[in-house]
Order: sequence, then structure tokens, then C-alpha cells
Amino acid sequence: MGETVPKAQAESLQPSLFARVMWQVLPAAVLILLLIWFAISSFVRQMVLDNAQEKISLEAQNYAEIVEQRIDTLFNSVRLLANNQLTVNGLIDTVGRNSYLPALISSSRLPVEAPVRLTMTDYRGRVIAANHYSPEIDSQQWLTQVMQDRDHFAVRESGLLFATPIRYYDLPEGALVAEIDRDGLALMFKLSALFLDVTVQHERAGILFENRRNAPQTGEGLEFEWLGETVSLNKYSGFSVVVREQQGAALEQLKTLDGALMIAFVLDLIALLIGLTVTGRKVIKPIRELESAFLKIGETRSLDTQIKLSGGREIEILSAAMNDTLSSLREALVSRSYLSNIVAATPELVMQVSSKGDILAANPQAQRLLGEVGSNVLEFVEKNSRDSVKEQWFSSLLAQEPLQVEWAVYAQDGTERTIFWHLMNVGKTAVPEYFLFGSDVTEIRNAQVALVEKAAELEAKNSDLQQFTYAASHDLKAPLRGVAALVDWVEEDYGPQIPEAALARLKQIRERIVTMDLLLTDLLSYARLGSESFQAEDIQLSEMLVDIVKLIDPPPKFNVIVPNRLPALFSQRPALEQVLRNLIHNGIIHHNREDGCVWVHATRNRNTTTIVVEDDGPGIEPRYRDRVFEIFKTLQSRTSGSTGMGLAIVLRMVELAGGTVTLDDSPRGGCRFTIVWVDTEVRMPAQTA
Amino acid sequence: MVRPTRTVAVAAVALLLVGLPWLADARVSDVWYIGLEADMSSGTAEAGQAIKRGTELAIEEINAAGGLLGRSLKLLVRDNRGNPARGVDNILEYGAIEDVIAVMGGLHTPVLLPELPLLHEHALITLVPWAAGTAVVDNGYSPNFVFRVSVRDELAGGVMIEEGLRRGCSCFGLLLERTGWGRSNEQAIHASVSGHETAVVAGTNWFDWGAVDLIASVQDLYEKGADCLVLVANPREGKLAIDAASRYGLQKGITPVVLSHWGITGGGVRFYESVSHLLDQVDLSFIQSFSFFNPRYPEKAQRFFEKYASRYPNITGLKDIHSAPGTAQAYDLVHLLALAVTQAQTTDSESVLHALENLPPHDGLIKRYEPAFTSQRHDALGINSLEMYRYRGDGAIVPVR
Repeated sequence: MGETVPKAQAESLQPSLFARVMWQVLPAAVLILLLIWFAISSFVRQMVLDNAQEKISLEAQNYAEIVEQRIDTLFNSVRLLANNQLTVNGLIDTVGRNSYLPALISSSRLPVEAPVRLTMTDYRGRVIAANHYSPEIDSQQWLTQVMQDRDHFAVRESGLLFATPIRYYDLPEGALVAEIDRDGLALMFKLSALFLDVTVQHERAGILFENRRNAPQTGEGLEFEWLGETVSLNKYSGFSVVVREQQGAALEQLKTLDGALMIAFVLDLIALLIGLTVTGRKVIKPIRELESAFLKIGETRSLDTQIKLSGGREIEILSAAMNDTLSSLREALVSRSYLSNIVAATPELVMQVSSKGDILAANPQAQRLLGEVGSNVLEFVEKNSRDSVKEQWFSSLLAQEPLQVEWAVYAQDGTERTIFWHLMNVGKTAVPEYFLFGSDVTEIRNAQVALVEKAAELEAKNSDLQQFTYAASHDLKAPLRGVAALVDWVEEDYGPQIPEAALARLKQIRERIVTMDLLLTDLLSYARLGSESFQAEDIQLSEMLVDIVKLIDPPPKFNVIVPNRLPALFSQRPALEQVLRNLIHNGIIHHNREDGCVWVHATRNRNTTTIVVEDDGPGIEPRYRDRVFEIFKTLQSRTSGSTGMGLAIVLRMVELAGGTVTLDDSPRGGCRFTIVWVDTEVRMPAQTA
Repeated sequence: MVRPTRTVAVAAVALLLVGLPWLADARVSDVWYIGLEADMSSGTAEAGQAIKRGTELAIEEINAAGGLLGRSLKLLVRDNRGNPARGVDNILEYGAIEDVIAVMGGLHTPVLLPELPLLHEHALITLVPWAAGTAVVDNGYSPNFVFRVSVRDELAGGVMIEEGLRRGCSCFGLLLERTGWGRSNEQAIHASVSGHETAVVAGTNWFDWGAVDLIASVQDLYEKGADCLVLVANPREGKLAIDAASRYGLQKGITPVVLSHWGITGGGVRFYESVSHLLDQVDLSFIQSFSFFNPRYPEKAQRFFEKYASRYPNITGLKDIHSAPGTAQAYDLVHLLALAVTQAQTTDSESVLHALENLPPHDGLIKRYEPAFTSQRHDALGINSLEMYRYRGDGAIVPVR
């Protein structure tokens, strides 16, 4: 914490927070309000104008359609009358037509709200019948067109004229002419429910109808073109409909709008001021209290302060959060104290280092070993491996992976110590924080070296012993065969002369030679164990056992019981065969009865096979059970066929295969050997290692 | 003072010597005109064409024989489209042409009737080969310039009623066009019916030119008790009437008997084609004054047919002569006119009129005229010349019996 400013001084130096907020926020808020007001005003003004324009367009369009519709109605009704069969007949029936034609023309009521002058003429425009008293048609320009079988339509100063052919056999043979004068047109185009100024005009005849319903009074308002709309009526060329509306209604709307917007603006301003005042009371006051509380913490350097703020739910939440933060800080300080003590007390070396290896902080153990903070840890590395260590160090940083490596350093006391280092980044952010932990493994490594040396020494001795055993057993066989030959020669040369007692001794000598030969053979086998390797193969255990039993050929009353179905396994056949043969053979030769029995059964585990060989013989007392696996250890005399090597070979072979063999009592009365035989493929890595 | 007078006189003589032949050429034409005034392009144009062909063939024969009074005959043609207004204008035009010696008019009575005042005003000999209205000839004018070799309604009504009676009809429904022709027939039919005790008129329904259907009208007549329809119509409305009768027949399971005036045949083959599909459902017969299938003088008819076939295209048989009465009657009329002019030795209308009323007997294509006309009778055909005909399967017009 830097310099602290006393609370009273701080207050005097700074303007009131409320004043600052008002000073900074109010102008901006007023400006924003003004902009909003302007935008809304413009938008609504445009909308009002657009609506007015759209209304006018719509009215004009509607009116144009009505005009078209009425003209259409007139034309269609005149055409209908022209096609009336009595009209057609009137063209032909020159003698009788006066009895019906005038009545037909006079009584025809066309569906238009205007008096229509109808004149029926022959093909040269000569009047045949009419519904008016002056049946002269002002011009016959229409005749050419009608006699070409086309309708004729014209609007003149005098009014409207429509002429259509009267056909017989699809040929124009006469004409029906309809005329409406200007007064009639005014009636025809007048709309009773029209609230706008409408003018129907024709390019040649000028204005045909004008409705001045909303005509402005003198000196009041003007006709504004932007609200006027002209719509052309193109279907019958020459017509146009002009619809205008005074701006008055729209302007009234806009005045109302301006008033409403001004009131809204003033209300918004009042609301803003009230809002700021309330904010000052509800928000700024608690903030000032918070400020005081933290100033107090700064002065007293004590976190044992409780903050009590009031002013709405958010402020209370803030108050609670602040208290939680203070509480967390207190707990963190306590935790940090514990952690510092642990780091100081640990026998391990703990250092905070830079990425280049500069020691930024170190616990006492590290300082004792390497010196003060500020030095570079890489400088302490034993000089021959320094370059290699640096490479590993920076590769680890680059890969952003922890570094676990062992290297020797020079300690302050001048000794060389082997340290197992663990460099890791404990930073939780993008900025790394490297910690280097070290364990002094100098003594362990020294002990390991001594152990390895001792093991090598033992291995060499063992190898020598094995070679000696092999050589001895192999070389002793030759003189033994010589002794046997000498005994044979003595019997052959001096047979009849040899006394009975001497013959008995010779027999004993021969038996001892056989025993000696067996011993040497087993010893040789034992010595060769492990020097031979066999290919692993699939083994059907039950088949193998049947072969073994056949080979052993037990006494006639003796039973070796093998289940029909035993598990298969993958292993070196000769080794397993030797083990099982020795165990079954042992069970037979050491049995105390001729009708004894040996049982073999097996169970398969994940990658081992447990094979049990048990018998109902005399069993082995617990005190001898360890000794039976030693070489040349037999509990019976050598003359029984036992050399004392069988179980030693079993143990050796099982161990070479990576398994175990145990001996205990069989529930059947005899002893029970349990072999755990490891599959070859599982065992192989262990062997290579 | 003498010299100038002599000079002027010499100049005048010289001028006369130079100018007389020219003046003579200008005033004296070498042709007489017969003005045809008929429907040449509208709904009965085939009848107009038939009249024109008969006239042309007769003119050719007369011109081949040396013409009339040293001049050849020539045909002028004006189309009235069946419209009286056009007919009247055509007559006005012919009236203005000096060498028109006669007007050949047809086929509609309503066209001829309004023409009568002008025809008589211009003293135009009017030959009628096809228009049956009684009032066309019995027109009240004196002198009466109208001469007809054609059906006369007064007689036609009787022929149709007689045919109806023969077919077992006793109650006649009249379907008439609302014109002078229709009215002319109304009188004739009523007169004929009143002459038979067993015959009555069930009712008379009028229709207009331009009518669009006659179904209600026909049904109304049957509902009034009619057992035969008597039809006086041109092709367009005639087709509507036959169509309406066939519908009624199908509806009631009968074959309506329709006795028609000859106006329907003014449409020629077009009319036949328009109703041929209905003729199995309607017993249609109609008046004709002449047929190449039943000529009174077969040899003469054969010679005429040969000329006709060589003169006009696409003629392979008698059935190809459409509206044959129009042709035959026009042909006979032109020859009768030629006889009269020759007899009068002038084309003066009143002289020719007088000659026509006093012709010697003449062997025409249709009949032997003994004589054709008298001062009291301007109709050349009597009741014996009229007969009921029907359509054969191929459209040929053949006698009912």
C-alpha cells in the first residue's frame, strides 16, 4: 500500500460525487433527449405527410376506377341496346318498325345517373329512331369508325359521344349513338360521399366535372402541391382525374403532434431530474460509505471491518459481496501463512524462477544449497551437462510442458549433489509463473550404484558357480562310468572266485553308481535350466497330461486322474511338461501305497493358469515343506529313486516362467502343489526387462 | 358588219364539223345495263350469287345473238347485304345511270318494299327473281314497274298448308319474322287456313332478325296445340327454329313437322351444312319453284346445266347449283325483258312495261309462259309452279314426292 490520504483530506480534495454525476450526466442526457425528440418528431411528421399523400393517391385511384367503371357501364349498356334483337330487326323492318322502335329507344333506361340522348341510324348515319326531339348529330366523324365495326368515343366541348355498330350477320349495318352533355357528365361523375376536391377533365374538352367541396376561403391557406395528386385515366384516352386536398387537416395533425411531443419532452426532463436525484440518494450515498470503509481499512491495515450499506437490493448485495471479499482475504492471508510455513519446513528445494532460470524466491533449503536469491539456477549445473540441461529447460518452456529431470549441481559447500528437478508453470493467466521443485537424491543414487555393483558381483559369482556345477557334474560322470566299468571287469574276471559277501558289496557299489549317475544327470539338468529357450505354442493341457502319464507308466494299481476338459494355454511346452512330470512322478514314487492316486486339475485366469497336483499319500510335514524345494533334499533314501532334485527343478522352472509354486496339505490326505503358470506372451516383457 | 358575221358563221360550221362526231360518241352508248341489287356478301349471299349467275348466262346468250337494239347488255352489281337502307341507296344510284334498262332485285321482301317508291319515281323496270312478298308486286303503283318470276306469298301460304294437311296436320303454329315478308305470309296463311274447315292456326309467334334462340317460341306454339310449324325465315333464324324444333322433338319423343318458306335456302349449301345434323330429328320440307332434279323441260335444263358447268368452276353435278330457283328465275326474267325490249324497239320504261304485259308465249327454263305477264298479273308463276321440296342426304334439293 502506498501513501494513504486521510479521509477528511480526501473528501475536501474531491467535489461531491453527486455534483459530478449531475454535471457530467445531465447535459448528455438532455442532449440525447433532444435528439430522440427530434427523431420522433421527424419520423411522425413524415408519416403524417406520407399518410396524407397515400390517402390522396388512393382516393384518386379509387375515383379513376369509378370514372372508368361508369364509362364502362354506359358503353356496355349502349352496346347491349345495339345488339338487342328488336333494334337489329328495326334496321330491316322498314315498314313495321315505327310501331316498336321509337318506343324501344325512348324507354331504354341506361344505368347512368345522367340523361343520355340515344340516336339510332342506318349505315350512313341517317336517323332511324331517337329518344329526343332534335335528332341531328353534331358530327358524323364517328361514322367511318363505326362502319369499320369499331366503337367510337369522343369528348367535345358539348359533351360526350359514344357510337357503336348495330350488326347483322356480324356486319355493321347501322349505328347507335349515345350523347351526354356537360351537365349530364357532371351528374355522371359526381360522387355523393366525396370529401376531397376532385376534377375530372379531358384533354380536349377540359374540365368535365369539378367538386369544390373543400375550396379554401380567401386569405386562408393555400393549395399545396405536395398534397395534390394527379391520376391519369388511360383506358379511354384523354381523361384524367385530379384529386387535391387542403393541407389544413395535415397541418392540424402536425400542430397537435408538436404539442404532444413538447409535453413529452418536458415530462422526460422532469423524469430525468427525479431519476438523478433518486440515484444520488440510493446509489451515490452507499458508494460514499463504501469509500469511507475502504479508507478506514487502508488506515488501520485491518481487515476486521464489517461494511453495512443500505439503499436497495443491489446495494445490499454489493455490501454482502464486499464483506465476503474481506472474509476471503482474511482466509487467504491465513492460508498464505500456513503455506509459507510448509514451504519453509519442507526438506525439498522450492524456488520461484524466471523463464531464464533466475531465482526469484527460494525456501531456506534451496538457499542453503544454492545460495541467495538473484543467482541463476542453471549456473549451478555440473559443467559437463550444463548445455544439455539448458536445452531440456528451454524445450520444456517452449512446449509448455512440465520438466522432470535429474541433474547434478554444485552446492555452496563445494560438493556435487544429484537433484531430481521438477519445473512447472503454476500461473493461472497468460503470464507464466515458474516454480522449480528439487529433491536431493544423491544418497539414493549412490546406494543404487552400490546395489548394481553388488548385483553384478553376485551375478558373476552365481555364473561361476553354475559353470562349476555344470563342469563338475559333467566331468564327474566320466570317472563314474570308469568305476562302473571297473566293477564289471572285476565281476567278469573274478566272478566265480569272488566270495558272496564281496559280490553283495559289488552290487551295492553298482547301485551307488546308478544313484550317483542319476544325481549327476539331475544336477546337469538343473545347471542347464534357463540356458535353453523354447518356442511358445498352444498347449492342450489335458492331452499333455495324458502323454505324461503314459510316459511315467504308473504301477498297475496306481491311478492318475486327469479331467477330460482342462484349459488350453500358450507357453513353452518342454518346461511345463517337465514341471508336471516331476510333480506327478513325485506323487507316485513317494506314495506309501501301491493303490494310491494322484489328481491333476487346472483353472484358467486372465493370463495365468493355476494347476493343482495333489495326492492321497503320506503328505509332507509343514516343517519340511521349504526344504523339499532345495537341491539334493529328499525326505527318503536315495535308493527309493529320488535324487532330491525333482522339486528343485520344478521351483527353478516355475520361477523362470514367471510363476509361483506353493505346497500345502491336500484335503485328500496327501500333499498339494499349486502352480501359477504365466502365459508366455505375458511373461516375455518381464524377461526382456 | 357582214364580214364578222360570216367569220362567225364559218367558225361555227367548222366547230360543228369537228365536234359533232365527238358529241355523238359522248351521247350514244353501245350498252344497256341491267342493275343487280341483291345481298352479295351477307347471310344470303349465295342467293344473290345465284341470281347473278342466271342473269349473266342470259345476258351472254342475248349478246351472242346480237344484243338488244344494236347494243350489248351489261350487268352492274350493287350489294345491299340484306339491308333496306343500302338497297334504297343502290336504287338511287341506278336511277342516276341513264342506260339502266332494268333493275334485278332480290332477295329480301323487306329490302324491296322500301325501294318501291324510288323504283317507280325513276320508272325503273324491276325484275324480281326472288322475293315472295305479295306486296312487292301488288304494290298499288300504277303503272306498276315490278315483274316477278318467283314465289308469291299469297300462293306459298296455301302450298305449305296443303302440305301440312297431307301430313296429317290440322293445327298450325306460325313462326314468322317480324318484317313485311313475315306479315305478308301471315295474311296468306290465315287466308289458306280459313279455306279449310279442318285446319286452324294455333298461334303466331314473331321473331326478330338478330334473335339468339327460338326455343321458348317453338315450345310456346306446341303448348298452344300446334302439330305443325310453319316457318317464314331467312337462313340464320331458320337454323335457330329448326334447332329449337329438334330440341322439342327430342324432349317429347316426336319428329316435329316443319313446313318452311323458301327463305332458308337463300343460304345455299352453308345453310344445309348448318342444319344437316338435325334433319334426322325434324321433318323439314320447304317451297321451291324450280329444281334441276325435277325440271319441266329436262332437255332445256340439261343444256342450261352444260352452259352453267362450263361457265362456273367446281360444278360436278346438279347439286352443285346452289339456290337454283334464283338462277333459273333470273335467267327467264332477262330473256322476257329482252323479248319485251325487242318487241317495243325501245328501252323506254313505259314502253317496255307495256311490252312485258303483252308478250307472246315464251318457252323459258322453268316453264312455258303463256304469256308471262298481263296488265293484271305481274307474277309469272302460278300455284302450279310451286312444290314442296326437301334435302337429300348429300344436300341436294329434291321434290318431296
